[in-house]
Amino acid sequence: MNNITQDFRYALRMLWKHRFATLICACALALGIGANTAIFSMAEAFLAHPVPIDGAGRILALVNSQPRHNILTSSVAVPTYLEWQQQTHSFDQMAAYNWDGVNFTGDGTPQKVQDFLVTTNFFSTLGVQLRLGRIFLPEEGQPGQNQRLILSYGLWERRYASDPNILGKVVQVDGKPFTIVGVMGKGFNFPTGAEAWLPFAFAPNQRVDRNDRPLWVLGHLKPQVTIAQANAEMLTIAQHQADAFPDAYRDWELRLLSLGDFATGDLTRQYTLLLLGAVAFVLLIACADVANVQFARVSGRQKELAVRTAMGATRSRIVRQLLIESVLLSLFGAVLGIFLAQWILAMILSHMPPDVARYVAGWNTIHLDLGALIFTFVIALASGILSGIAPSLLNSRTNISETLKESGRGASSGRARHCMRSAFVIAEVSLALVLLVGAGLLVKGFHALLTVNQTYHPETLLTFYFNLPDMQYPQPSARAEFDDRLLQSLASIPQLQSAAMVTTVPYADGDYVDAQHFLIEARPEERGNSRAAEIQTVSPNYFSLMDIRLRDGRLFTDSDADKTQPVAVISLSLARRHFPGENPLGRKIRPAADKSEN
Amino acid sequence: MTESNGTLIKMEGVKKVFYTDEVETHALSEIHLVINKGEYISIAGPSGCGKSTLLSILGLLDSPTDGSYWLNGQRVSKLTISERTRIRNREIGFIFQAFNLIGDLTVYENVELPLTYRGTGSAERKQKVQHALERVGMAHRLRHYPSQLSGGQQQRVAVARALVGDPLILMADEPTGNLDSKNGEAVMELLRDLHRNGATICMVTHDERYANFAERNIHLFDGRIVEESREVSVSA
Repeated sequence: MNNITQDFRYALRMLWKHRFATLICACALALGIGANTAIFSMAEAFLAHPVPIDGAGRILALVNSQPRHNILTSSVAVPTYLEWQQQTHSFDQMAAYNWDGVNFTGDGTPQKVQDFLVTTNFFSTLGVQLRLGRIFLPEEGQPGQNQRLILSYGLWERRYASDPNILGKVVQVDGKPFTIVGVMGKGFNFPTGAEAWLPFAFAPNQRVDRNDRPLWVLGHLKPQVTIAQANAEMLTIAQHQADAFPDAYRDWELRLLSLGDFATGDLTRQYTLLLLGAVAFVLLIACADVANVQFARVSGRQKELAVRTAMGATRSRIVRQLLIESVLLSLFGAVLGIFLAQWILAMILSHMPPDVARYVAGWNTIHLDLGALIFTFVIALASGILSGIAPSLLNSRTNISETLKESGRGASSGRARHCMRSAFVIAEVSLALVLLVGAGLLVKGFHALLTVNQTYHPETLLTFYFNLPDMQYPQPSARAEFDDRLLQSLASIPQLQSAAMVTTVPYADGDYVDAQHFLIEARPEERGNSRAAEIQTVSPNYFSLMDIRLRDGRLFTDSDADKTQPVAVISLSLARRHFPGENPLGRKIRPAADKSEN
Repeated sequence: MTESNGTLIKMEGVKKVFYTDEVETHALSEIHLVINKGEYISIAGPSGCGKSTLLSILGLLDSPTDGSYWLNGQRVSKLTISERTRIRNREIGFIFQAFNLIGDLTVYENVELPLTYRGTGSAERKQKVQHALERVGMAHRLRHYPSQLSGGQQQRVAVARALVGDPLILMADEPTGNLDSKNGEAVMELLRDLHRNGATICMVTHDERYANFAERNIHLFDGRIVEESREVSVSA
């Protein structure tokens, strides 16, 4: 221990003696370590703690998938869920939810709120506690008794100024009175982005419709039940369902996912791992850089090392001494790196639009915690060893008698050291090249993403969503009339050039694509090869507003909305995929669900 | 091998060949040498005769290409590097022409160096270092760095470093080579003093004046011992 203390003291002395080089190396390492720490913190939030729930490891998501059509994650039908709930022995609770969106009115500025319809056992399944009030009662899951509401902490804080007397307050939700019965704890916003929760009261037709799949299902494993056991049981249940209702479950499969994987999604995981790889490259480059500096520094100490060896220092002792220097250097870099990581995270967090951030699972939990500090220490240790081991090993093997002579060659490098230094330079350049190419591709892809919108100049477009409450607009004709009046009102605003409507604003919903199956007249669907496309309902002037050019046929007119033959405009890619070599004009297609309302 | 009680070093048929770019350099050929305990040996000869090479092999800084070398009854010619390092640390003290003190260590730390590699405890190290520096008259400069000392003082510190571990033999390679005559004389007096107190010394020198300080002179030429003489008396 005494000897290690001596080596530490000497290492500090040497680092201080060459403080300019020490500072340069520490900064290089700080860049690598800081970037790694920052991305690690993000990865930890996204991948390890995406859902801030205790016991999340015992909660699974049960989803449908259609691998043949590249649909990996899809919601399930109400009867499917109800049968799972009845038949499973692996889960002590099974809950479900659906995406929704409502308007709060009557108690302040009208506000669109991201709410979720949840089964009444949703919160007990997740095992979360409320800050105020209570969870939904079982009877509140019945139609007519479901006008209850639980607020998120954030919405309670922003809209109601954290009113402690909020319970029992009635708010207008899509024109209907809802009573607030609870407020969730701070930080809980699951499903990601939730601002409010309403009880899901299944309509009678939903309880029997196996083709409508509105539910995302979560199950809490019973104690002692493993994921593999639950998986096996649920697959058996799903197979029985498929056997009993082959048409409804054709090509559909069941997948069980951990809650974390479900909340994070494949894209986030892939990009996070990609980022981790990229910053690892940065650190390797920094290590190679520092190793070369160490080579130069240690090479100039050949005489000292020869003297130490002559005095009885073994090679391992010399290597240890040099490695301690290298590791100390790395630890200095790590200290700087922690500050850099803090700054990087602050930059990332402050530049992410809140409307995007709230839908990223785990975003609110990004911070530098003890895990990140331990990670920093470990990679600093590894970096110190990595950047110091080669210079230490090569320079500890010295020709003692030659070096100690007055006229000896002293600090000449030797072929092995030259080769190693060249190898480090080559490795550094190679890694930097890979990073550069990756960064270039990223920039190119991002540029392509930005310029894909150039035809319609998104900076000149103002968009907004609205939901028409069913109670006030029960008929399609009433909704169509509202749409027309809204468009006329917008057209009268002098600052607006034109206005149009579309079901979903392009590129506005992340990777969510509501692909629907469709059929082609006189072309039977091949078994296992159904056709799907994203279907948008648009006002007639949508194409001109978005500057989407017509290739063939005609665009919509006002008369198309009347009770005439429904019409459709298809994309070029769909035409090529489903009508190769033929003219699609005049051909008839319809949604497979055969929805009669447009 | 059984040696007489006085024999410290014995070399038989030692050869050293350096191979560089297909060229063989025979630095030493058929060296037969015996050094007894308490002897003061000088090895002299012209430049390139192999005297420093011989001292390197004697000091276990290098190994012979052929031949046998016994140190204190143990055959050391075929030892591994780590074994040589251990013996060198415990049995041999070095004094170099260029002093070879480590500039970033204090006088105390330089002298202490062999003991730290031996694993000696802190209290014992302190005592031995103090004693060694007192023997060479440098105990008052413990906290100084080599750059703050004169050449003669640095060499004294180097002598203290060589002595601190109570080695069997001191190996001195041109110990006065970088010193003026006054300091050179002082260092040689120091070595003579140590010898009088029982130290075994093997010194390489090209200076005849200082060679005569030793009681036995060995002359090398072209890697061979060509003459061996014994001094009856040494003039101060």
